[in-house]
Amino acid sequence: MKIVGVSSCIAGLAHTPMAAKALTKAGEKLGHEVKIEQQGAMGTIDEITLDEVAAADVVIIAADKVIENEGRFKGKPIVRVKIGQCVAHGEEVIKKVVAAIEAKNKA
Amino acid sequence: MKKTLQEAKDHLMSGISYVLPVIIAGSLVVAVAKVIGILFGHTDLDVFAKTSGFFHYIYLFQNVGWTAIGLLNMILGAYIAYSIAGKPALAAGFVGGVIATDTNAGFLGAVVAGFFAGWLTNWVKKNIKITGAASGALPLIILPLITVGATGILMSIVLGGPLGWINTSLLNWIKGMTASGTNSIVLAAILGAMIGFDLGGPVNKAAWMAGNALMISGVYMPAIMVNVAICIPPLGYGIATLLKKNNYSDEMREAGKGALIMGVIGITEGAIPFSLANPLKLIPLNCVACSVGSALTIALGAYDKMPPVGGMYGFFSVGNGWAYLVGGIVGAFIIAIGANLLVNFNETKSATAEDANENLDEIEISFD
Repeated sequence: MKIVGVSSCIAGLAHTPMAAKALTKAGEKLGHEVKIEQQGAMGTIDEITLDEVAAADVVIIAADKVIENEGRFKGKPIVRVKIGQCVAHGEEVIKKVVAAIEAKNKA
Repeated sequence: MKKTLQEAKDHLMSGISYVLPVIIAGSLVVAVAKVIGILFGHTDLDVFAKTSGFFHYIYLFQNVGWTAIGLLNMILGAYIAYSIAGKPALAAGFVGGVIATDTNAGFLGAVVAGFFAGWLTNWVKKNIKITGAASGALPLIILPLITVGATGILMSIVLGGPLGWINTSLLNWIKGMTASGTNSIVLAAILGAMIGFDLGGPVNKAAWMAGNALMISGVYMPAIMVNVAICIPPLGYGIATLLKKNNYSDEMREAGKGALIMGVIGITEGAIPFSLANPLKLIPLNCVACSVGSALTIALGAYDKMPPVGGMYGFFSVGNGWAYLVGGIVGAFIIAIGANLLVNFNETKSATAEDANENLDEIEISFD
């Protein structure tokens, strides 16, 4: 499954990269293609392009604030997750999101 | 209703994320100027306002910091509005934030102004339509006129008085609380425990926001209590890896070095990888350590002399800076010793694998 997402926390220096890393790593392990854009204190890192949005099966938003430029994900299934849970349980988050999307696609 | 509240909280947090660099930059600049003054025996730089030469330059430099701190309400109002309605809301947010400062409505006023400006901008965008040749007038003339005008009227004429009164009363109440020894120790213990509870999660951020919001309004004691507590968990686990090396895998020892640095500069999140090893035992330990450390700092007589700077090196911005250091280090050692007694960090890998399936149920995801 192709997954894109955005991580963003308030201070933008700890949770933001930790969540992005945890999700990407979990994706690798579980065999999904994951790319997470970090909206942190230094601006945007690893920006998700429109092509990547178009190719993605699902968008994960892991943020405890409003993210920049959310409009580009319009029309895609968007899943919101607490950023803290992504840091601690990246794998479970990916598993749960994938399961939810698969169930949704079947229905 | 719950969704609206969650959204409102996110907008507030977005506004605060823009304010953060300004607070930090401003308080650091003031602190640097003050420290240079103190090194030369001048505790008050204001006496150099009308002189010339070196100390006048230092005085001017200090004013740069105060200028940055003075921007806070304006930026907060503007970026809450920006978070709600994007660029068109900025003008009204800026103006509302400045009026909040002018009417003494402070942080509270800036928040109200930001939300009002944002929501009003969305309303105008949705409900006022101009067609034909004059349609270009809407974004540049009509919308700013309505949003800036209405936000201005609300903040200065309608709410200026009452919000100013609420804000001033609130500040006086908290000032009174931090002036009395016992109450301020209790406050420090509570704020400290909140910081330690979830290391960067919502409870931690609530305490942290209270400290910063009050700092914007010139009440510095809560920020000192929060700042020292923030350093304790990462510093504690960093020290723990040094005290009992064989309790940690190579990877964890390496993380310990990073945690030490994060403790010194004041990033609580550095403690997360360690606390995850056994949250049931370690979260209470974090709370106790932060609570004791923060309360001890205040009990030993730390007081506010300038806008406090975060991190352990922030002690120079605190009156009786040694109390800040002692509080921080005692708190860190409570974690360092406690964690080594309670948890064997070598065994954590297998434990987390077993928990994985239970965790699956706790993770909340929601679709739009």
